Amino acid sequence: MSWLRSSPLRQSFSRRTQDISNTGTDSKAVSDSFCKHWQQVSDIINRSENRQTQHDDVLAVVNHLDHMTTLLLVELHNCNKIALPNGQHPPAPCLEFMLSENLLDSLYEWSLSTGRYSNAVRLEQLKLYELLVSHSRHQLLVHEPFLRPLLKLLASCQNEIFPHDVGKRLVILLNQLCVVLMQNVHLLDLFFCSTQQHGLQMNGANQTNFIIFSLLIPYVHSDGSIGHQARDALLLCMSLSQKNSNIGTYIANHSSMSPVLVTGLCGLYSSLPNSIEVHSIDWFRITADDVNDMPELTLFMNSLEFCNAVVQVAHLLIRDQLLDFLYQGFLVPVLGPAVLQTNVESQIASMAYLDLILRSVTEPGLLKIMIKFLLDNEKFDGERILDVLIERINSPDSRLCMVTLTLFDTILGLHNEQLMTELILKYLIGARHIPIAQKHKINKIQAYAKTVDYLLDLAPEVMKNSNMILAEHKSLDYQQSSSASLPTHTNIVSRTIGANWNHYGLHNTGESLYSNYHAYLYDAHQKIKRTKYSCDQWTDNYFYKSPHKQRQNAKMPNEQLVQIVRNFLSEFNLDTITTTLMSDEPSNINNISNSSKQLDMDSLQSIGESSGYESMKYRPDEDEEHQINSGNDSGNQISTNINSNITIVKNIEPWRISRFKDSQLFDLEITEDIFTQGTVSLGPFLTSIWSKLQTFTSNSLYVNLHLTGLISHIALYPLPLVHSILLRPDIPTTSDIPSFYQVLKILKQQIDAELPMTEDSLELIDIGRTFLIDREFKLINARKIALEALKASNASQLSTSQTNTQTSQLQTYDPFKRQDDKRKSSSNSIMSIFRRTSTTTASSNSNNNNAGVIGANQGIASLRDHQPNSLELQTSSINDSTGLGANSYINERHRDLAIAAIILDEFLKELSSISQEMSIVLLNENFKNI
Amino acid sequence: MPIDANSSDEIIDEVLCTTKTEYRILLELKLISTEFNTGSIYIIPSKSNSLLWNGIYFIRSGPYKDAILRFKIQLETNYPNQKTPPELKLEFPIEHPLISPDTQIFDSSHAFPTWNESEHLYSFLKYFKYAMENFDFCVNLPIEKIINIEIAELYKKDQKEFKEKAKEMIVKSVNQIFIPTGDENIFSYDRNSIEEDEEIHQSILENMKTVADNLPESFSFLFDNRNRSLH
Repeated sequence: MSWLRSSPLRQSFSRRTQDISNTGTDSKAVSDSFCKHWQQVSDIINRSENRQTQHDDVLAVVNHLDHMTTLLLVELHNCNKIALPNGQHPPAPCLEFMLSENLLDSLYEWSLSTGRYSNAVRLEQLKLYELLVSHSRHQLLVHEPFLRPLLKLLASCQNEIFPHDVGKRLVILLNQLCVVLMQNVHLLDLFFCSTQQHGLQMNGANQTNFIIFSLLIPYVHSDGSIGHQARDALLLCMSLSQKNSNIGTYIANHSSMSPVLVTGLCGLYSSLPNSIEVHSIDWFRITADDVNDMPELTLFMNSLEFCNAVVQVAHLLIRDQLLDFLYQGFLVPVLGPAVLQTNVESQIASMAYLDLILRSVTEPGLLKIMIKFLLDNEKFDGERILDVLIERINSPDSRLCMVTLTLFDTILGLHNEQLMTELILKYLIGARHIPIAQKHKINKIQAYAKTVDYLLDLAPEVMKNSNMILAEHKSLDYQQSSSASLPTHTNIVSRTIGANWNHYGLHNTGESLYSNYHAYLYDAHQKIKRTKYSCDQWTDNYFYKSPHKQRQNAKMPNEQLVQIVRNFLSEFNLDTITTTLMSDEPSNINNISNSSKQLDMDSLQSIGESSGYESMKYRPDEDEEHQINSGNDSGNQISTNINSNITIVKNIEPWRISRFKDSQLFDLEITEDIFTQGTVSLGPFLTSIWSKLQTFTSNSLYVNLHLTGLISHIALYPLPLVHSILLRPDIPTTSDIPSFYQVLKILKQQIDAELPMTEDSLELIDIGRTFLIDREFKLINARKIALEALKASNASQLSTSQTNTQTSQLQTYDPFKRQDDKRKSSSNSIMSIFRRTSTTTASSNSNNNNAGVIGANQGIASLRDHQPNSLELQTSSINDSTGLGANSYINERHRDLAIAAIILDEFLKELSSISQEMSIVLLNENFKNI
Repeated sequence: MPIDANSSDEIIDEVLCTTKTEYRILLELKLISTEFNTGSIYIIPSKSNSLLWNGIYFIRSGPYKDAILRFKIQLETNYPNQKTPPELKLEFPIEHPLISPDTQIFDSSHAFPTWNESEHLYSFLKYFKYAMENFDFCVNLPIEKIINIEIAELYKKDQKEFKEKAKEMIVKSVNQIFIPTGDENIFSYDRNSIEEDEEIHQSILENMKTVADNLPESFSFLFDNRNRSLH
């Protein structure tokens, strides 16, 4: 303890100060008054040694202490104003008096004898300490007369149950102490292992104890501000654990932190409603506002966020322990069975909760166990949660379907390699769904550009006509408004590039994003960029790779191989090719296929197309390795593989040679795969989505919005293998289900047949369009109002709440961080404008840990209730306006078809914009790492 | 089930056509930036019109080695469905068998008698580069393909005089790139800053030593800042 005494601070107290003349009179009066008050307190304390403490005594002491507190405050205030040049602290006579007389200790000792008034006295002491800790610039903690009684007081608080006000004071004091400790880590040991060193009497005397921490744990799940402060303080302790591994070890090994957190989480989850009361037909996920509207959910989410934050800031030991507890104690025994329930209502609720959890969890460690949970094969009677979820895509209940589609949208939004592999890539990786002769096309990015025409051609005829009429109207308007000169073609080009490119083509905010192709392109650009950024971190780029690399050891009879090569080449009608294969050595077998891989499709085709003076021959004697040189003046393209005995020499005009084409894949499948064509599964996930898409015209509008959104989301991944089934109509597939284009074609035919090109149909389309645009504006306005309300409430919260200063200490703790990014994206997206619910989806997510938001949400909630969102309402208005019978099935069917046609049309635009953007983004991407 | 994707007639939306042209241009630019990754030719679309490109060509071999040529390429509005190859016009009156002495337009009809959407601009530019660097190839073309017969004859008959003439043009061409022009997206160089600033000067020299063989793959002034360059 000698270091404590030799502290320079201590000297400043014990030394009589001379240079205080400026504040001398004031501080003299203050300190006199302070001493007087203490004298009286002291009298009472002395008196009480002989008799039972009376009510009056306590009252008087509290009264005096109040005065003393005020005086101390005045003194501290004065002190803090003055900055002495030599870095010393100005004198504080009251404080010095308090410390030198060991006043706090006397007070504590007396408090032990106050009997039933002890809580009141304790409250006063807590207040006093809190004040001193938070307002004094002095490091009071290094002074024994301060520290010792404080520790005694804290120790006496253990294992006690306090009334709310005392508990609150205690938590505030602990929080303050944590803040001080964060700034002065070296003081940590004072509160740590305190039992022996300070010789205090505590339960289990020799046990290591970090008293601040153990006092905070009971408040971890508390409601309201006390819970918040306790969690803040605990997080500070967690951050301390990274600076001081003693703390980490203590929390992990000796505290009940992890079990308390996890059991609390389980308890809170169990108290969540088993079914969610849904107000609007387009409800699909729990928003931040819903969380605030449901107290049970608020509590649960607070607790979950806290776990997330702990994982983020805590020592490795604590983190691993907590993650383990969460998996074994919450995910497997609680969340799993909840998701696997059989009742549809409970399924909807539990899926929505799962979605919320997945969206809220930001820490990689936590995400990892969530993914492990989804993929766990063993814990749930051999059922995998992910498979169960996939099954629900085709649920007859549209709410369950929507929640499931949303959940998968969230899962795709994680950009997780493992999940994508399980859902999709696993089934596509060998490209067995594509005929051999077509496989070389997969990585050909330039072909994406042509997809646009094909996709847009799939729009229902009635939509094409309707769009044409609309375009004519628009161009008429345009001509009228700018009657000066007709825009020339070049003008249009620069107009789109310069003015509109980055702004959805919107100059005034009052415009709808409906059918705005530029907006789709911009949206695709942003989303692909983001997705690609994530996917660039993956272990593989999942471009199509020839399976030969994986089958180097596969042996095949020479003749068979040669025959396959011949057959393969003859598919391209390359009569000019003469093949001589040096195949006497068995070890060369695989090389043959390797080198044929090097043949470049484009070159081959260009040979076929052009005059034919090019020749192609093998030079069996060539043994060295040649690199293709684009600047090769001789015009010979030489392609050889190491150790290969085959060289291909092509006589091509030098300017036709591309730097990259030499390494493009020319694939040869030489396995039994040849015979399995036509029965290849794309996996349950895509199969389910396809089959839901097949019922497009009878799905509800909202299901279709989410379904198309999910498909677009899949297409946004920069994975040519995935695009081969979504964005490449030029590549046929041989899967066991109809291809994506076949499905789209059937939908087009269906709509064309049932909604023929008539005036009535066009009118229905018009009404449907108006309905969708109205809905878009309603959602935007609802968001606007909600955001404003939120802003106002935040402003008032800032001015009133003290806790903000404490939370700011925790800069690393940022729950919903990932959500924040999402929020921006969702405000940028177009199709999602339709998809959004009337609630302010993610707008308040970041504020959702602030208690004060609740107040603002009354406004939002009422807004949501008043929104005429249900389709029923709209239906009747549509029917009214068409003047047709409201109950006529045929009319309803036509109305649904019209809406479906519009959505299909927009979906095709979304997809084609993705393919256009992709054609640029992925170009030459597969050569990057070569 | 190969699918016929030739349904462009169906597309009524003018904006969409424009978009397609623009995306094709982006694609061409990206291809060019990767195909010419060792320098020599650089392209940037003009600020006001994406169909008009500014280019600069640092000749690294052939009789005009060390010359620097600025040029413009004009695409038609229906690119890539135009019937003839794009028009490439040099800003400097360099004499070459395939360049018209009057209009300074490069004649590519030997390699590209027609144009269609399967052609790429990088091969057009590669042909340009090939022709500029291989006089022997040019002078041996059929006579009707040669535009500037005078220089072809000179090259064939009097190598000495040709070389002198070439030297003169090389010097002139280098001087010309310092003359500023109106377009904001053009390759122009400030002689003062290059010559006076020791650091830049040194770094240019350093660069020139290494540039030819190891420019990074991602070297591209166009695509990493796609939004900027197309604004």
